[in-house]
Amino acid sequence: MSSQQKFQSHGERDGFEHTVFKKAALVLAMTMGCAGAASAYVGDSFLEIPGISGHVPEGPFDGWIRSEAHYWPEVPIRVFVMDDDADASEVGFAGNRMTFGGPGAPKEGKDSSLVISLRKDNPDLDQLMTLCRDNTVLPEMAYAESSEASRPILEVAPRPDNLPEYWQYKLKDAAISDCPVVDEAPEQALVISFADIEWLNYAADGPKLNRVDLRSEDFPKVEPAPQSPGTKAFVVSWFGVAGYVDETQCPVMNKKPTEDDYYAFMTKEQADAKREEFGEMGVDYGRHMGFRGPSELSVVHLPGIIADPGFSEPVSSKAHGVNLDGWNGSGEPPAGMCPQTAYTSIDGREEGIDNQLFTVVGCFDGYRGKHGYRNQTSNARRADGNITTLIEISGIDDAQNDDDIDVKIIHSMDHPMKDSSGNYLPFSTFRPSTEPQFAYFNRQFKGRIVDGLIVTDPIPYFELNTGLQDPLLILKEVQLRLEIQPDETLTGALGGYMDWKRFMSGNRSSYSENLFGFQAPGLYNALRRNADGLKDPVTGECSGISAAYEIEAVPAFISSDS
Amino acid sequence: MSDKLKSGSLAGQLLAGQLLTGQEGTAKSKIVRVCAAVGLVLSASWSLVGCEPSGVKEPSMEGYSPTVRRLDEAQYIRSIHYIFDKDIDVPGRFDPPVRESGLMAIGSSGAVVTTAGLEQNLARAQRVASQVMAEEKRQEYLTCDLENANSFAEQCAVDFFNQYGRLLFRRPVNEVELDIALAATRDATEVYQDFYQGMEYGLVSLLISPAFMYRIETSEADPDEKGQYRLDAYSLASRISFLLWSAPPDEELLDIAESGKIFDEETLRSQFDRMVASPRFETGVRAFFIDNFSYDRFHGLVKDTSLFPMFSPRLRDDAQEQSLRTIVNHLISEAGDYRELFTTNKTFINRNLGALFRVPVNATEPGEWVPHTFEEGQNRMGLLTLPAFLMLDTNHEGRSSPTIRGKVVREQYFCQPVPSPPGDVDFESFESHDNPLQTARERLVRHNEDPVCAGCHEVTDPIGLAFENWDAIGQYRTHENDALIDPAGNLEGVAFADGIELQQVISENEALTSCLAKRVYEYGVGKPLRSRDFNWMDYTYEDFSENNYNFVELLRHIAMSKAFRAAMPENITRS
Repeated sequence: MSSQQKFQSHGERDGFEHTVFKKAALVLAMTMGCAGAASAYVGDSFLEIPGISGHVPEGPFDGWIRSEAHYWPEVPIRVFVMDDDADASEVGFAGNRMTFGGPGAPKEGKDSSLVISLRKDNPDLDQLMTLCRDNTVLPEMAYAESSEASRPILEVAPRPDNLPEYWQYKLKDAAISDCPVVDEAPEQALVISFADIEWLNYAADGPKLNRVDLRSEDFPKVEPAPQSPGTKAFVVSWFGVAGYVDETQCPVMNKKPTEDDYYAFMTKEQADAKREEFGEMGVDYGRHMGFRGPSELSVVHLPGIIADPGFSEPVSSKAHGVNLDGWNGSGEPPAGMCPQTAYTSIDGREEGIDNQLFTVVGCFDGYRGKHGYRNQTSNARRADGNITTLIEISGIDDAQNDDDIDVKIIHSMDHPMKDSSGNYLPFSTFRPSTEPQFAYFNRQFKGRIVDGLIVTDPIPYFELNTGLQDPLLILKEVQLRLEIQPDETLTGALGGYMDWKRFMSGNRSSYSENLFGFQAPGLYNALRRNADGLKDPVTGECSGISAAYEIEAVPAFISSDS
Repeated sequence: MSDKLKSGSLAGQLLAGQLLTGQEGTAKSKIVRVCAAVGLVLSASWSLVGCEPSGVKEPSMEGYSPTVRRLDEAQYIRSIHYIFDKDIDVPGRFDPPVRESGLMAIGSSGAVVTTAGLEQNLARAQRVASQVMAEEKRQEYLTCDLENANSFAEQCAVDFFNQYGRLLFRRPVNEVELDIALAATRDATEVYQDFYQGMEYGLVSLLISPAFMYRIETSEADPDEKGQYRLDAYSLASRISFLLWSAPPDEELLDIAESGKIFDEETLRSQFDRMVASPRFETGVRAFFIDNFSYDRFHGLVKDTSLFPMFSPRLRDDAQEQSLRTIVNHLISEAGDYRELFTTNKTFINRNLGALFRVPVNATEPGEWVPHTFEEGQNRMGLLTLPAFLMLDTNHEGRSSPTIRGKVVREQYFCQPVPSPPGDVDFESFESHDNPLQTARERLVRHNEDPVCAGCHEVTDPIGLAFENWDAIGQYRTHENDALIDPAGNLEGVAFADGIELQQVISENEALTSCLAKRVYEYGVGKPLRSRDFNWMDYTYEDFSENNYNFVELLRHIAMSKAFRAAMPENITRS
């Protein structure tokens, strides 16, 4: 089967024959709109081709070739995986997510393909293009993908020590079978077809998932403070990407791709054939629209392989968030940062708020605060008791100015109680959860109160189980900026730097493009443009983008007797 | 003037004209007098009667005519569960209860079964009978295990109907009743060729019998008091059982009745102790207070959730449960003084109520009830600061009503009926949310200017205004419409600063304890107290007082009294 034939079939299959997906998984995956999506991520993976000396300069893949993004076309996206004897309630949406899935590559013993993208300035690209043009079949190629980035998206467990950082494979009798060139695109797609694959560091017949049992010392020691006048607790009622300031922020909203975009790389004959095939239903966003790249390659998985369609950004001097780098917007940004906008806080009290993610998603409907459907669905799941997050502020001697307080994030086993309007019932009591998938993510900050504003010292590395579709939030240099309101509620933001490619991976779906109103290639380029933190001193590029999550919480109590 | 009158009891004050505040001869004073005369005459009259010293012989009391009382829904269900199995589903709608003279227990004497109720009863009986005779259960109840069940097994049926008919009817079944049940069983067995189906029909005949659905009391000549009558042994057993358990007598008590020993003081005392030790006793105590405090009105209670979003059916149910737990714990578990129920800071809360009280709930299980002691600053103390009292107003969904709260205290806690307002009262000026007057006190002042209203409102409002620090669902507040609430007042000349202090005043008012004693007796006998019975009631009250207002001792005193069993001949009924 030629690669072209294979890719023509991609748009037709629903991709759920894989035995990993039982009926429940099928339903859940379809609910998430992942039909047509493949096992993939946006982020570094590495290819080794005998005879070609790659330019990865260091690390375990020194001398290999770096890929910006990839997908395995014949392996469907893994929302979660199950043992053969497990059911969805055990490890699915509502089940235990302290698992770590095995590799997401095709199984051994059959031919398949891998699609990767390289930046056009990658010094190794020319040699790969030559292999493609010559249709050279090599006895083997080696490939490595991140085990964490490629894992099923509902998992939250840390990677066990006995599992490698990268899954490694040997691609046998492999050839770069297609390499359609798009001149204006920042990246080049390469299709690697192979006759067989060998899993090098994970048994091909090994468990589909690995349950992660943590030791007591693995859990952060975060205990609720004794109930006292100096302790205030809250239950989080809203936690979402801070992408909304006001109604005027978007002169132009981002838009989802159109059918014209889908047919853009097709000949008239190809397009006519597709139109006839789809009939009056037209292009299906879930199954077809993502494959609108050249050779019907997926531009949601490889968002750099077509020209940047552009991305509308908000017009606002204000944003939610935290001043992460201490720069207030005057003079030059501090060293180690990429160009950025210094926003003013919503309350007008602080300059230099870092939230470049707002610059990206401010006109991206899914993330526009409470108007955003993505935020809404996440918080609806929160309100349903999918996860209960508590914030405790203790050691308060002076509610206006106190130089030493503790701020804790504690997860509860109790569902939030609601009033008759469906709002969180204030002053409910919550028991801390001892369930590993929640207790592992408890955190403690040191902080202070300045003129009523609660600010915390940064935590270098921060993970949070948000309990939602894409549950594991990972941020660096995280701080909180909170304020107790006169009505005793808590509002504010959690800010930090996120791996912008990880954020992109979380949006690699044409179903999401349709639902949330954006184009994946535009988002990809906007994220890269606006990345402002975690600067690589060698390349000068920033891998992190400052981000903020809006927090609203109602007063609560944390049980001391659980 | 008696000591009680001198002590300033409400009745005494009213009769002495103290509430008239020197305005005798005005229209207002006339209204007050009407109010007092109509509503408060009972307790006033009772209070005027002097007390006998303790240890005296029980005053004689002319008995009431035997009652015929319809089982209420809870009693019906308990009967089935206690006699057969707690897992038996008892479906269908019951005829609504009738409240009379403050108690459903009194109203049940006049309650009828409607046509629709009869249909429901039949359907319910069939459903219950089918469960009792279900294959997996019937061997628990039948003495026979038939290999061939397609024919009528008379002895098996007779054994069953004698044993369970006695429990259902709370007395032995008579020959006619047994014949009816046997005939129904025999006929149905023939039709269905199935003895067990036949037994279902026989059991239905018992369940739809008035002897089951009604507590039919009968009297007999009292051999110890010539010329007097008393309840017969089975009727007394039922009266005691429903007083303590709100459920029918069990086999042991029926055996005691059958033997006649129920009239023996020591035997009865022993039975009383046994019944109080039973888990059924808590159910019975709950049933009494549900009736006494009108907690049946929680059913369907609603509040305007746009004004009180915290209100929900769950909060409503929790509020009732909290008060019942508090009552049972204080009066039974801790054998506490009834008066201290109004000053105790102990209660029980769950997560839902914790949110209302804004206190943490250190429970280990969801929905768990845990003991709670209100601390300084939590603004709660006593039964009347719990949400059950504060929210139980079916007339006002959007605001608290000091008048209703005051009326409830007067009627349910002091046994002082307050007349309903005249039919032509314009409530608009008070009820309207557009009223520019910010607090209830300001709005109610208008009543004091209107002689048609003032008489009764002076009786109710000072009490209710003290509880204005809690809104219509029992949330604490200091302000209403941004205006500071003034909860201070006085009750019969005793000043209080707020609702908590008022409860202290209430707890010291003899009307509170005398009312409970009266209500327990009325609840037991199913009749309102007569004015000629006040002598006996004072004797009872003195005993209650000497026992430090211990509720169980009050029950014992009443259950073992001759007055409790005294009756008229069945063909004599006095008004």
